[in-house]
Amino acid sequence: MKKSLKVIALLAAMAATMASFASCSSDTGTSSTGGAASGETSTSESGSAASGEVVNLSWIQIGGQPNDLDMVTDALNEYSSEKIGVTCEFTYLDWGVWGERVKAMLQGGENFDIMFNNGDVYTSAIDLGRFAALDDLLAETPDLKEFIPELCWEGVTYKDAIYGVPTYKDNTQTQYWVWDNNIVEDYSIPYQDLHTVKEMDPYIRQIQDEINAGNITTSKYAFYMIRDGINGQFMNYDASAAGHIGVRYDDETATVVRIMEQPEMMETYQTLYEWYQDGIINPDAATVTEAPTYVIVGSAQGFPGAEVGWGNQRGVPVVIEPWGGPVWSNGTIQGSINSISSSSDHQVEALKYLELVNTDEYMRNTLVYGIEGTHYTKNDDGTITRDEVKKNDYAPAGYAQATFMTMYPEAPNPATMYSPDLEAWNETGEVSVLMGFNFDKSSVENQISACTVVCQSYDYNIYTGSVDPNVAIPEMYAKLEEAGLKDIEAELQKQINEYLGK
Amino acid sequence: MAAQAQKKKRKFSWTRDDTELTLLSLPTTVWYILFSFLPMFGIVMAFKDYKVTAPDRSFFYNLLLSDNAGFDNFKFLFQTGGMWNVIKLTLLYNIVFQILGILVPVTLALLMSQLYSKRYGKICQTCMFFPYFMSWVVVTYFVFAFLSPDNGLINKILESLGYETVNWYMEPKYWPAFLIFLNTWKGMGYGMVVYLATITGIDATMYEAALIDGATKWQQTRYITLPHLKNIIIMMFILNIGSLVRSDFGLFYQVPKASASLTPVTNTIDVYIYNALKTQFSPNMSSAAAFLQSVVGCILILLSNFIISKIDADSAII
Amino acid sequence: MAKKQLEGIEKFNRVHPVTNALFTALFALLALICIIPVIFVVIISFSSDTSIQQIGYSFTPQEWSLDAYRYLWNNREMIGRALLVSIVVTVGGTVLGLFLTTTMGYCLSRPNFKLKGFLTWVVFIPMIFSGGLVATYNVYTTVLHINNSLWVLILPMAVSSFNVVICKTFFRTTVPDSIIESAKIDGAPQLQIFFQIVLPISLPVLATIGLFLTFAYWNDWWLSLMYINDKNLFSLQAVLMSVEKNIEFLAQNATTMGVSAAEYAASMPRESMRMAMAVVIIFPIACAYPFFQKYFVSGLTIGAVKG
Repeated sequence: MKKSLKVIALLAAMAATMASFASCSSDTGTSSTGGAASGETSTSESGSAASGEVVNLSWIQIGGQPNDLDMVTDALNEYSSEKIGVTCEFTYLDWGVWGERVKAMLQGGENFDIMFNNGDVYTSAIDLGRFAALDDLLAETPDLKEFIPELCWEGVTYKDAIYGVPTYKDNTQTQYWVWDNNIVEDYSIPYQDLHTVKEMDPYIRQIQDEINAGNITTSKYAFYMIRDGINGQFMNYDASAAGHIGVRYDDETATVVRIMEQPEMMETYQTLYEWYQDGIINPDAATVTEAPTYVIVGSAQGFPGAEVGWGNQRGVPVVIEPWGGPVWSNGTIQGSINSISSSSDHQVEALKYLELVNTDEYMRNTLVYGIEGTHYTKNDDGTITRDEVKKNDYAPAGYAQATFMTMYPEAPNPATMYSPDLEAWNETGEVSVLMGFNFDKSSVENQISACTVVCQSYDYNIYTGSVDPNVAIPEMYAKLEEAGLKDIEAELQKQINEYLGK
Repeated sequence: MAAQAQKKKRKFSWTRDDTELTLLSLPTTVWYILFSFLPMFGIVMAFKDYKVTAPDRSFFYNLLLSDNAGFDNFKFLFQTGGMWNVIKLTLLYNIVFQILGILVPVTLALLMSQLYSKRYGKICQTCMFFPYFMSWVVVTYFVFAFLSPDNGLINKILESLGYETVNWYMEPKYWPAFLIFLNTWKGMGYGMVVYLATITGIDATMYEAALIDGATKWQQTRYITLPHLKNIIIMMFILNIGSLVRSDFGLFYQVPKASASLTPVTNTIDVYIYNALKTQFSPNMSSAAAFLQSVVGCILILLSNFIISKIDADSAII
Repeated sequence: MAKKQLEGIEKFNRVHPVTNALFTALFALLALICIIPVIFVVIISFSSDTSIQQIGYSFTPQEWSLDAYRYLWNNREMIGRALLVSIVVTVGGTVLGLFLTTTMGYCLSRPNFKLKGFLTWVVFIPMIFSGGLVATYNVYTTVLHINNSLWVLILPMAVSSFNVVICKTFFRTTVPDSIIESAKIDGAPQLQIFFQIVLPISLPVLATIGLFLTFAYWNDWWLSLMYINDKNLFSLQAVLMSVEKNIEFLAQNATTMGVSAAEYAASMPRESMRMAMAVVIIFPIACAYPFFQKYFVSGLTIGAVKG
């Protein structure tokens, strides 16, 4: 009884704050709003104190805890409590422990309001019953629903409902070959014509010859690899499940195939195997986890304009050429989602808060860059410059928070980098035939775990060309069949057909 | 009736001594209840398909309300015939570890107690302790410095001697020896401590008496030191036998750098479980695996304890 | 007087000089095998990153550098705080753990104690069975509420059944029943017997258990990573481990994270810095070791004098 009274009071308070939000939402956008708003704080704070309590949320984030977290949180709360009567406390879980912690929190029943999550965690937590369905609540936040493209919402739809707010950013996957420009120029490599590993073969061999002759000293190997193989090697396959099966993103028939047996994959692995034999790939490739900062050529995921950053990292100017994508798929959209706990008492407020950080420029940029004047300064053209020293005190993982589209780009990037450039780039992407499909694995869990064990003894070797693919790949699939691969294939195909049939 | 009589008898013989000892053991008992027995209801998870149906109720409530899964959660362990090989490999390694884990530290403790210079003994013992402080991650770096196919110390030596170099991480045949060596090396200094402490605790007058009787050094060891160590050795044996079906994940997964080629000699039980469940979110299957390991460990301990208590009741731990 | 006599016997009761030389050589070799990795870790921590990239980890780097230590020095506030947390937790935990372990060990070693059978099972069952991570996490965070405080680093590790059993066996074999019986006849309560008679003659046991506890606390990183949100409460080992795990995560999730992953990976400390941290972890505890060692190596050549 008491509880329901509280809820009613809360709803009333919310309606009031919503009205005030609507009245001032028209002039959001410039940072001057932030300044003016904070000037008014004293009056509105007393107002909200009279009408009820300010709701305090907890948001579980990923990444190292920034040193200046308290300072930034205070600034955010001052603004958000006035706008929507909600404050938020952030808990940052270190990258490496995030997976374990989130698992324990979800399963162990610890309370939270908003949680950053992705891919596997998302569907599993929904199966477990820990995330709230947002479809009805989204009616209360029409701005948010409209701001994020329909395709993104489709990507997070699972069992006919939306359980999280997708992050609207570089949602398509595009893979590039990133070449050391000095070498490209010295040996006039037609890098723009080279897309598959097979096509690169003569030039890679030429580079290795030059290395062996002592003419190139920057690296000992023309094609340095780590154990996970070529970055994005499976990007053309969607709905991939354990045992290397999946559907090609442009296959209209949506047939489940064995990825590694596909001719183009076989060709790649065959070439890698030859390179490995000839000493073009580092001999320890199958066990290396971290690549050195400098390699002659490597694959990376990005979008146009990323070469500036890559060049800085590698220490030499680079040239890039896309070899795959851009493709929209569930996987790329589910890279960053913020969900609301099913046990949260403040689901509506949490969603409103997410709406605010996504659509309000002041909230968005304070959350990712810190406080203007302290952590960053605005430039005349709409970009920002971060303070060289202070930026180390506040550098959270921007991709895990909210959209990129309301963020100010960092100079020297153009002011148009995110909006409209990135938006336009996303729109060029092809949509996978299985967009919106999520595999419900519950009936084949045992087969999947048996298959992951089998893959463990082949994957790194095949990825890096350390073994002969003509022997290893058929052998692996034979063992996978023993482990129940056919059951997984049948179940996946069945679910796909059901999904596409309706 | 009989039970009642027994109870009466027990009550009757409850002494002040018992009360005092109960008080003395109370803090630790409370600790056990809070930190060991309270979380133990999680074992139920091995037999459940855990789902949160009432988000605002407690974990315990939701767990009990979840569907029963019977033994379904255990099935993944036996999905393929490969499990038998995994168990065989784990047992083989553990038997070797068990033997060396007692033989090496006991021998070294005995030898060390014979050194002329105590100071020297102390210094060596301190040095032998260092590996224990290095996490397997750091050991992995160190091993890689020796075995790297490119820049590794061993390959450089082989090269300079005119031999063919070896791609160590691709050759399973060398690894059982490496892993056994590393395990012994890491635990050596630590393992010695218990035995050294026991030897220190032996009454000096016994050796004096033996000396007067003209006992040789070997006889002193054989008839005084070893019998004193016997209880501790047996205890260590029983304690370790419970982990016969467990394997050190760091040693078998991190140190070989998860090399695919080495799986035939590194795919021990905990590595297998890790690989099987690394894409699984649900805790049910890992609970089931852990429970099964515990049951086997429990049976092994109770069995060996029973056998030992038949031979020498004083050495049994339970 | 007694000491001098003992030394005489000790001299007389020695192994053959040749045997001694053999033993000495053997231990020299073993010590070397164990100390080389430490030297190696120190060398890497002084190597320059370019050298590591060029020739890998090597005992003879191409180029030396103090960068790693400069990095630690720049983070001295964080490292210092972590060191302080490690020391507080290790000392506090060891003292608490010693109390809890030895009292239980002593009670179990008393043959006539009525609850002995019951308590033996209380100790034995947790040695084999555990509730698993999820249930443990639930109890610590929602029942005991010890997360995000130093208590979660101290309490869960205070007692280990393994140590209790060692303790019990020690008391059983090295403390003569006669001493306790005679004290009881004098009317001394068990509490007094334990603290005034049993503990003083059991220093080797205390040192052994104390050592095990100290090392366990010092080496632990799991509890910090699992139950502490505030990085200011991380122990030293946890700081190093979180760096390792972060790097692993970023390498594995590069695809789903897009461009951002590479950016974060670039901001992680390099190998030499991680090794420097390992050095900072090893040295304080190595300095503490001789303190424990003197209690169980003191009577090495011949049994200690007692009673």
